[in-house]
Amino acid sequence: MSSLAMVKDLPAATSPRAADVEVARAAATSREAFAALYHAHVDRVWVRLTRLVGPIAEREDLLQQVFWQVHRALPEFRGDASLATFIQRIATHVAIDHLRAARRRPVPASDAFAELVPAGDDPARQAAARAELTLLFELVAALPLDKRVAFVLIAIEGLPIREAAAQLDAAPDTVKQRALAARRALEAALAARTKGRS
Amino acid sequence: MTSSDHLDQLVATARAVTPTAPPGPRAAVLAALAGEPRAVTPIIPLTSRRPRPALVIAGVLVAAAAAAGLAVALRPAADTPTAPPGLGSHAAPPTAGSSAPPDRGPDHVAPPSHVGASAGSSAVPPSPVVGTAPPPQVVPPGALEDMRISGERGIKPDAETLAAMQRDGVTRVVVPVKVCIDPDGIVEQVNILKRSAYPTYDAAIAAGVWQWRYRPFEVDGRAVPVCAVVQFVFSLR
Repeated sequence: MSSLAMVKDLPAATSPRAADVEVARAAATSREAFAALYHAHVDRVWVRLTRLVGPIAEREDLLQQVFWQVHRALPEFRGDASLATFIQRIATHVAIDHLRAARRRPVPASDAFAELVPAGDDPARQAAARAELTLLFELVAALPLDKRVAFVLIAIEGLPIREAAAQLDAAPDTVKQRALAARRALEAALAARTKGRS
Repeated sequence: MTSSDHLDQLVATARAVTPTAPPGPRAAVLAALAGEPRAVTPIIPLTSRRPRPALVIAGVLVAAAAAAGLAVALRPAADTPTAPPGLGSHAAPPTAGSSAPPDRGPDHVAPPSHVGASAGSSAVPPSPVVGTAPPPQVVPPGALEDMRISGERGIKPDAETLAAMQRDGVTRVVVPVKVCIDPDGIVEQVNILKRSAYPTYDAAIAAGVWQWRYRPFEVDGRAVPVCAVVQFVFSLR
């Protein structure tokens, strides 16, 4: 018997997806279960939002919006993806909606990046990290939205192309091309900056 | 360093950043989960005209809390006039064979026949909710109250009911009412969640709430139907 067949023969309740469906079902009807789900996923959602929209104050609203949407969507969760993917997908779309509504919003001030740099490092390294984050967000913010999101999900979040595509409701090839185009544009922008300084 | 290497370095720095959600929003969401919508106000003011996510999350739980009698009290002012006369006959008592749509619950109170005319649209009572439409969002009472533009808030029992309360030794009556408005801000559903022992007072409240009128409640710039649980508290002094 192949390993795939063995997996298929397992009782449904023992599969991680079935467990996720149970968790979603409980969280849809119980405050305690939803609180547990919230605790389990809030930091990952916060990271996703931060990487997609930057360290802006509106993240707090977006975080609440994500979990509000999660709460409403839980009854429809069927285990097609893991619960974590399901929640991150909602977070991604909340961030995209926000970015779309605020296309011309300026990049956050560099001091906003201070909260992202771990405390305790030596000041010179902290300043360097802050400058790098500021530069990256500035460059990424100049990208078209679809390329920006694809780049963040694949290059920064490290998602496999297929998963990033699933989260964006797009074909894997499309998302791959967007991420590559974003990378080329970012490299060109960095080269132009270097050239301008020299 | 090539621009490609430079980009890799920037990406590596960004990847190393894994911020954790600060206690502010955590507390707001969890306060909502615990059924304490007021704890959310320092972050999301209830006076906001545009509903914020925290309010909506709180609203879901306020609705649940309301069922347990925990909704925020809305006290009638002492100097407000009594409910208009003749309203008692408009509030239909709950019946098993009610003609109200199923999702309105057994305590749905039919609108008075003059409500449509006073709202300036038509004399026809609000149409039932279409089955395919999404259910209205439940928002905290404060959020909906901010949008109210007309209608009497303080509804007192009539003299007969007051006499009955005194006779019964009742000094306080609490009547939670679920109010739903359509995207135009017109009341389209009134449910008395827990009736008092005084049907005339319940009917006066229901008829008074049917007179309320709101500004359209907008979410993301789009007017949406919403519901809130408003609690009437009448105290005999």
